[in-house]
Amino acid sequence: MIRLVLIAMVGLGVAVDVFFAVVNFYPVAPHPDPGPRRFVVMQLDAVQAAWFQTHVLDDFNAETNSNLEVLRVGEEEQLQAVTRDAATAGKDVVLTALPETQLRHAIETKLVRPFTDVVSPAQVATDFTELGDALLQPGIVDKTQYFLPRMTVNDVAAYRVSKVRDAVLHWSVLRPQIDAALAKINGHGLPAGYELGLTPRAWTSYDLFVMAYYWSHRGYGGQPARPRVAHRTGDEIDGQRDIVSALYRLGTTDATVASYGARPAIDLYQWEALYRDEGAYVPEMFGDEPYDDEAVIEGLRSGELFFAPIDTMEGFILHGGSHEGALAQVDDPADLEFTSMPHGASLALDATNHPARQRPSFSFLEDWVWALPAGARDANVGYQLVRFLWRPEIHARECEALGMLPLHPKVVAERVSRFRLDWMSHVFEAGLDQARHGERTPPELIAKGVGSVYAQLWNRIVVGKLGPIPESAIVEALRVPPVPKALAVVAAKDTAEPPPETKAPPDIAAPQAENEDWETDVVLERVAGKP
Amino acid sequence: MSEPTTEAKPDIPEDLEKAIETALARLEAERKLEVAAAAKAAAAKAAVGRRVSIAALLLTMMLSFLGFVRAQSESAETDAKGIVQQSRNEAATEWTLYQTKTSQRSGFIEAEDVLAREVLSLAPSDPRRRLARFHHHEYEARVRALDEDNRQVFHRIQALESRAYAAQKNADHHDRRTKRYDMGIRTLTLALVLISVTLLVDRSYLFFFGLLVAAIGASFGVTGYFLR
Repeated sequence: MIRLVLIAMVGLGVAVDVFFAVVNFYPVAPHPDPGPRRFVVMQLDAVQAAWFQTHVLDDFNAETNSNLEVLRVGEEEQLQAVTRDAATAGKDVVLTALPETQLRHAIETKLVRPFTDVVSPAQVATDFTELGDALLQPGIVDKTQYFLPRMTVNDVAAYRVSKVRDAVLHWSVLRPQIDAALAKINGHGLPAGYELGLTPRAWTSYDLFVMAYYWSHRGYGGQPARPRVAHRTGDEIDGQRDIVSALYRLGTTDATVASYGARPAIDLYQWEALYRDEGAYVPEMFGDEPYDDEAVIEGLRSGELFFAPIDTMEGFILHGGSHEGALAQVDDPADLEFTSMPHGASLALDATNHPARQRPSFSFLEDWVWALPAGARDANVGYQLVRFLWRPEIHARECEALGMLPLHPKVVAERVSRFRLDWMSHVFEAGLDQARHGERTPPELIAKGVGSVYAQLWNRIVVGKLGPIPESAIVEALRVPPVPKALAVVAAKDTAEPPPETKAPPDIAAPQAENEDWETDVVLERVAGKP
Repeated sequence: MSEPTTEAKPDIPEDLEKAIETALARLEAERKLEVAAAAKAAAAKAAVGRRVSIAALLLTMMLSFLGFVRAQSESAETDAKGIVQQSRNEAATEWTLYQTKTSQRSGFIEAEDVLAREVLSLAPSDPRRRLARFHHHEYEARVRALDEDNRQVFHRIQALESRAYAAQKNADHHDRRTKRYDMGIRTLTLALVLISVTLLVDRSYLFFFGLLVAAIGASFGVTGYFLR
């Protein structure tokens, strides 16, 4: 017996010796078959998706011997449908990035399952301890870590620096007209001692109106004057969010958001009706189709809009240059700047002719999470990818290339040295400053259809051409709120649409023709008393 | 003491004779047993010696090959760390270039601002406006060129930082492997010592214990190769 054992040991020893001898010539272990392709469903444009695949998934695949591919969708409403359809088609979807507004629907339809099905809660807590409770909180459902954090999106204000400079320089030419427009509502005009704010992050509702009014009467480059300010409208998530966040800037809170006839709502719709009456909003906002994210981006891209709310990721897309494939979408990226949304101020003035109600800047924080599809066959690889993405280096890489707001505490602390480009740091500072003046989207916005009601009210009052005065007309309209509509979850469309058209970098040898606006006198149109 | 003769054969009792013969036979048997035991012990010692020799040979080869593999891994780690350092240095150089160009750009932007302010005080027909326009276009072209340069510099920095990160991960990987190989080498060395001691102290369990330790050491080495 012992002899047999010894012979076996000798055989084993020889085998190990041979193994080590061979290893000398092949020092890197061969990779086993990474297995079938698996998919991660995300809302990205084609350029972003290509970057994510090359600089994130491919690195992850190499490190973990996986075979993950990004399955992109163009619109967030398609995320659930594409996830479901991919699973039906036999594709193994191991992760889906969902906005918080879709989580309830995803759970109810059993599209997703909790991460704690595959990893113990204690393990999740250990793996993500660096992130802190605040980041993990949005993923908790019924005290279970149902989802894991992906990113937080909030809106900031994007504006054209040259046009703001022009407004600062010349707006006072139109002061009588602006006063007259405001006096129709508050009986006075601009607040006492008003001057257009020179610090973008301190702009108020009045500053924005003054600029919007000025721009809508100012011709540039020999073209007719037209409205240059917009926000998103329509009864879908983009429009709802913009309208309700404007309400919060005027004093609405989570406790009062469902009180449709409250004072902030009256203030908001008065402002909106005034913008419409003065032709300060782009007319497309009042069309049948929602004026959504894509429309705002297109407006900024084409130079039609000088001021609009967009999120930091959209800011990166417009600016371009965040990675090699990201070409600038605007003619002059250096002219595009970002700041927090204006502070809220009521049209009504107090006895001293100052705004009767003022509130700080506000924007909703929209949390996105990683969801584990119920049918994921290799759920662990999805979990490992989430861990990989939250490494500080990878998170910073994503922020730098895609414009995601830095959230990892270490990356936030090191943001000055990590994000050194001026424009990039401006976007992030605007986003982080805005995040300090933001709150998570109230559940009522979607669950109870509050957002839908306000969006429909906007259509009823603003598109329906109810005047800002008398106030009673608006109050009457608010008294009978419409029936809320559920958010659409659209069917999966062809997700392989061609990539968005990107502009070639400007020819540096032959700069584009100047309109000489910087040196000419102001050309004003549609001003009473002027040609 | 006198020589016994056949003629003078003493009168020895028969019982005593038998007893003597028995004693002699016993002595002979004991002697044979001792010889056999000695032969067996010698054979066992020779067997142990052979086992120890074979084991030592295998373990020495193992240690030798594993040492080479470890050295390769360490060398790869050093190379990767070199790439990390080189990439970081190059990135730092590129950042310096970026800052220089940004300073240049700021100069042109300031000049443009000064122009814009000066032009405000000039009449439309003032010839200095034409000069200002010329400078404005010139500065704008310079700014655009610098922006384009900075864009390229930034993308080069991104590539370098990406390379540094990948190389650091590679170095970390080799570091883990090197450490695992180190554990294997130390364990195999311990096994070799234990097995060698078997030659000095006649304790066969030491040999088998040494084999067990060697198996553990070999496992460290083999798993180190497949470590990810």
